[in-house]
Amino acid sequence: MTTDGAAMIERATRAVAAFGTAGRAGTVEVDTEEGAAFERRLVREKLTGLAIAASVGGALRLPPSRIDPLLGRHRRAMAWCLMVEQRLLQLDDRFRRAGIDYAVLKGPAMAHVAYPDPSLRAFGDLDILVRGGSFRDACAVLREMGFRRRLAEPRPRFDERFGKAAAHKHAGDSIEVDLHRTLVLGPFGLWLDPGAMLDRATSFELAGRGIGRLDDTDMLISVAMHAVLGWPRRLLPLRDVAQAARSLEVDWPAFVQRAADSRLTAVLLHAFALSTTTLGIEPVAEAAALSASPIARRELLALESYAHRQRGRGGTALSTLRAVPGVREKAAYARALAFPQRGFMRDRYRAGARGAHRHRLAIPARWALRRATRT
Amino acid sequence: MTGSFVRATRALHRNAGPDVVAMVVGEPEVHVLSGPAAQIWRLLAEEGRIEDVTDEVARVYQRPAEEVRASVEDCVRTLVDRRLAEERP
Repeated sequence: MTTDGAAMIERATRAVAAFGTAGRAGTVEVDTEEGAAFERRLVREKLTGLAIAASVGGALRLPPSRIDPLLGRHRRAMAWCLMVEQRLLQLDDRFRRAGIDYAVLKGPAMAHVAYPDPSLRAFGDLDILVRGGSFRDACAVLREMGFRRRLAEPRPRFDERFGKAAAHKHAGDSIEVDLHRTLVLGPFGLWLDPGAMLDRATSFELAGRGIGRLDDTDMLISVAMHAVLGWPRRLLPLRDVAQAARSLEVDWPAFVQRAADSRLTAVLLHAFALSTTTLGIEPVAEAAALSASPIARRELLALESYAHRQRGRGGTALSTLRAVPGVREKAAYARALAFPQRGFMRDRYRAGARGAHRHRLAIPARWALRRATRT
Repeated sequence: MTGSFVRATRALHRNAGPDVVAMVVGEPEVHVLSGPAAQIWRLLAEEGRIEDVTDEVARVYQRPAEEVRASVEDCVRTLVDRRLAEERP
C-alpha cells in the first residue's frame, strides 16, 4: 500500500468513526484500489455499521464494487453480535441463579443504550463487572458454562486484591467474556470504587429481560477510561465517548464529582481531547466543568505510565505498585509479579517459556538501573 | 390468518444495510431476511394485522395489494414457524 493509500484509509476511517456527530463534515472518498484494505480496517475497528450509515448518508463514497463486500462483512459482524448476546442472556440467567450482581460494560450496553440503532455499534466480546467478593464465584459459573480462563492468576488472591479482569473463552464458539473486578489495569483501576458503580447500576432491555449495566454517568466514565487507558488504541472507544456524552442522560455535577473522587479528572479530560484531535468531535459544553477540578501530580504521572513506550517497559506495573496502599500489600504485589506461580507462567509464555522468569525479573532491574543512571 | 402479528420478544435482531439478521434466544440458527422479508420484519416492530402489513408492502413496492397478499402471508407464516414472530389473537 502506498503512503497516499494509507493516509486515505486513515482519513476515511476517522470520518466514519465521527459520522453522525458534530465532527468532521463533508464527503470522503475511497478508491477501488484501497477498497479491500479499507474494509479490513473497518472490521478491525468494528465500524462497519457506521460505514454503511455514512455511505447511505452521503458522507462516505465507496466504489460500487465494494458495497456488497462491505454489506457482507457487516452481516457477519452483526450475526456475531447476536451470538454474543445469546451468551449474555445465558450468563444473566446463571448469574441471577447464583446471586451474582453484575453490570455489562461497553459492547451490548453501549449498542442498546447510547446508539440510536444497535446495528451501528458492533462488539466482539463481553465485558462484565462483578464485585470483588463474587469474582471467584463468577469464574466458577463461567467454568460450568464451558468457558476456560485464558491466563491463571499470578498468585492466589491476586485477582481480588490487584487484578483488573480475567479473560475467559468458550470452548465451543470461542466467545470471550472479560470478567472485571475493576475497569482498568493499574492505579486508576485501584483508585476507582467499582462497588459503588454496581450499587448505582441500572438495566437495559434485551429479549424482554432486564440486563445489568452502569448508570448513564458511570457509563460515560467507563468508556472514557477505556478510550484513554485501554490497549490497543482504537477509534470506536473515542466515538463511544462522544456518543455517550451526547445521548446519555449524564448527571454532569455527579460526573465531575465522581471523577475527582477517583482521581480521574485528567483521564476524562484527555478522553475528550483525544476525541477532538483524532475524530474532530468537540466535547459537549457540560464537560467543560471538568477543567475546574484540580489535578494532582500523582494523577498525571499515573496517566503517563499508560503511554505506549512506558507501558511496554512495565510502566503500568510500576505505577500500580505506587498506588497499592500499605507496605505489605506493595510487597505482595511485587512478589506476585516477580515470582508468579507455574500456571500463570505456562499460560503467559506458552511458546518459549525458557528464560521467561529471567525476562520478568529483568524489568524491575532495568527500572532500578534507569533510576540510578538518572540520579 | 385472522389475528395480528408482532416480532417475538425472544427474537434478537440487527439491521445489516437493507437486510436484517435475526436469531431466536436459545436457538443456534442465524436468519438473514432480505428484500420484502426485511421490510415485513421492520413493519412487525409494532403489532399489525395481515391486511395492514399487506397494504404497506404493496405501497412500498407499488403493486396492487391483492397481488402481494399471498406472499406476505407466506412470509409472516415462515417468521412465525421460525419463532421470530408470534400471532396474537
